[in-house]
Amino acid sequence: MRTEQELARLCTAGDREAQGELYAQYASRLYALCYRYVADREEAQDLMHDAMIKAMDSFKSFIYSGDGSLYAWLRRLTVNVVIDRLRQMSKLRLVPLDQTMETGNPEADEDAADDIPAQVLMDMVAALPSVRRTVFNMYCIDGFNHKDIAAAIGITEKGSASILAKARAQLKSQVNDYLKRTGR
Amino acid sequence: MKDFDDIFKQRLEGYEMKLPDTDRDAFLNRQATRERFARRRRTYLSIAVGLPAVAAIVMALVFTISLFSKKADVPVNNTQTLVGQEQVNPAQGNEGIAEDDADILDCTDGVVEYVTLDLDGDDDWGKPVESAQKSQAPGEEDVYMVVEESPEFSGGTNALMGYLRDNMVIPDSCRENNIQGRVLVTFIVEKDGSITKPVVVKSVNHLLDAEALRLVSAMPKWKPGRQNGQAQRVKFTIPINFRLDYYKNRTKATATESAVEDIMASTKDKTF
Repeated sequence: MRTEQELARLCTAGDREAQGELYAQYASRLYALCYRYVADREEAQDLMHDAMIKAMDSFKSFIYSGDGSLYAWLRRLTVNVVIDRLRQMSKLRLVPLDQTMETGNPEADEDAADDIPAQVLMDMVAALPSVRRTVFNMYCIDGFNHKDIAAAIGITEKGSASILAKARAQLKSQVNDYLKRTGR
Repeated sequence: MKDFDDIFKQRLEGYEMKLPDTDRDAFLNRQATRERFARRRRTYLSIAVGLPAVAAIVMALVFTISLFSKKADVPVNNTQTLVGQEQVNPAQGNEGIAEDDADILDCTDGVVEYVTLDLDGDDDWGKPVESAQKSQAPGEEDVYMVVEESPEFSGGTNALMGYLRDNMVIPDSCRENNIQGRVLVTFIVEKDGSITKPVVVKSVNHLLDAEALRLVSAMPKWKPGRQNGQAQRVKFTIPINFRLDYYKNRTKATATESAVEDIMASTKDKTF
């Protein structure tokens, strides 16, 4: 297997084999990442392609800093591509208040929640309204802070925090529902 | 809160989803197509920068020559007879191009120098100019290569590009087999502006050639070319680019629709 730097260099040079290898290594992870944001398989596939293609053009700015840094770099780039697309589709401009939000949810049982299959968690995230989904993904999974989020999607930091709280509440009730349904 | 987030973070960060088997090839093809276009863009860019430079040099030369010729004592009515007879018999083709500078000097004063302009400015910029020639009496057969006032698609070059873009139908089999390219078509703009004798001079594929001919034949009437104010038959060449743009295949409509639906749905609720 090639080193990450070499892989990046060969991809930029148009080496078809290296591009195939890049795809084999990262496509399904980046695809899942895109799906987490857009909740649509076809759209996610398209975004993943866009991101990888953008990567081919910008590998120049990739600086290797240990194993896994290529993935970290690709991931950052992909999130940016996704946010750009969401903004373009103006999915982020209007922030709907969710009607289904229940107050006073019982705390989810975290130990039991560990057994929930990842795909189920994925679908729960996907079921969030798009703004909540974006904020939750950026903050809780991809490690952005509220300041980054506010700048990226054009809301205030406070707004970001309150949206996050709602996203969490909604997810929590979904986790509880799931645990109840599966009899735990 | 942190614990709750971690349930999701641990399981979803780096989670992999299975892609359709065909997706890898689709991706690699798309990248390959992009690289091809990028190369072509670079070529066009160098042409776009290079040709005006060449054109500028040619124009400077022409200007110098005309300055010199001012000194030459040429009777004015002599030139006037030459203007208007400038035409090239199709049979003679481009042979008139290589006239001596001396000839040009003899009759330049008042004679307009013509530069043929290709639509996308590819090959013909700055080619030597056909100087005025004496020729037979104009008949039905005479076709001008160059005239004072070039024929024009009604609305201009941009409108022509728009027409081609809007009416172009790329055959499915070309799409499937990734056949694309540039077809050059020559035709004659008649005195009434109608288009006759379209001929493919640079072919790509018989289907694309046929489509190019169809496009050209179906064009609305042109503004005819004029020499001395009189409409003349003029030969014209246009390049038609058939590009298989990746994005064209995608169903953009569905994405927009869902975005609109989203907004519709969300406006029902209160908004921040």
